[in-house]
Amino acid sequence: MNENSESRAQPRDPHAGSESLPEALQADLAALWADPATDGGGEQERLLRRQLRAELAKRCGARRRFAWARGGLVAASLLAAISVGLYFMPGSNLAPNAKPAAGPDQILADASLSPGQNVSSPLDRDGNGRVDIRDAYVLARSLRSADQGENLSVDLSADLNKNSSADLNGDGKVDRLDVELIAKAAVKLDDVEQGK
Amino acid sequence: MMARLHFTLALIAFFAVAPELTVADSMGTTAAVSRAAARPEFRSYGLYLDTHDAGLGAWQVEVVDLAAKSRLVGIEGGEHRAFAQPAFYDPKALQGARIVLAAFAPDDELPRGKTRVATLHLRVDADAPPEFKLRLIAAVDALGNDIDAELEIRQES
Repeated sequence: MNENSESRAQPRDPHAGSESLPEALQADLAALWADPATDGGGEQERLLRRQLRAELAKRCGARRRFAWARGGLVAASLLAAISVGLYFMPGSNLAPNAKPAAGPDQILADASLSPGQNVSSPLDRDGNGRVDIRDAYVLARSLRSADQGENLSVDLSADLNKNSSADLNGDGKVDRLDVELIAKAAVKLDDVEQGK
Repeated sequence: MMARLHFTLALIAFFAVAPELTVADSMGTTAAVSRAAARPEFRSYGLYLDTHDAGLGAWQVEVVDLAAKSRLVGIEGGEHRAFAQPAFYDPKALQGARIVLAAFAPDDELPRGKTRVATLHLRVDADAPPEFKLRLIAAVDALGNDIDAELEIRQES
């Protein structure tokens, strides 16, 4: 009975009955199950933590360097695209054989077109085949002479009497607005001409 | 986060100074691509018509800047009362190097001899002043008949 009680009170040794294990394994097991407070396990833990921190820092550093490299690559691509765009941009004088936006030759070519030219237009009051300031002036003089009751010129006064086509804006009367319409048509620049 | 901020700031700084950079052109020389290289100035040019003894009832002129470096910023009327109002022109001319100007006298009092019919206000590059090419489209007397006229443009200020 006593023997039984004593045997029950004994702490259970994990190594009990391990006499048959090899010595190396026993040493390892002893180190593994050793009390940290007595055999320097705290030191091992600190060492482990230090190694862990060092490893983490190394990996983060690599990731940061990779981010910088990636950013640099994007910036270089962006600059290359912008440079190419500027080089070949219309109007850029950098590209070989670049055509100026509005060089003298082109402007002269444009200038050879008569502004406001429009054969058989109702704006062509004098019937010379093009619309210019003469047409506006002819109509303005006609209006003025009509207002003053004068008859400066048969041709001029006839312009108002003989046809209602002098009402160019269609507002039911021939007045200064119609004259301005012709003048504006005379100086009008073609979109294509001016844009070249 | 800070790295991204630094990168963005560096990119902004680069583009801020990029126009001042020098780039190589096709001739192997260098051309400064710089906004600061152009020296803008505002100049006025008087447009003159000399009709000798004839009275000028209406006129129409085409002005082309062959240098194509200037920009029209305004048109002013002439010195004679008959053409004191600014001439007609297409506002599109403000975007190009070519303009057609025209005006007619509103009454019978017409200028004779040499008279300034308009003033052109231009913003020009001081290093590349405008080279004008003028074309007289029409110059007519009181009855709308063509008259001989000499055309001239000269810098006023």
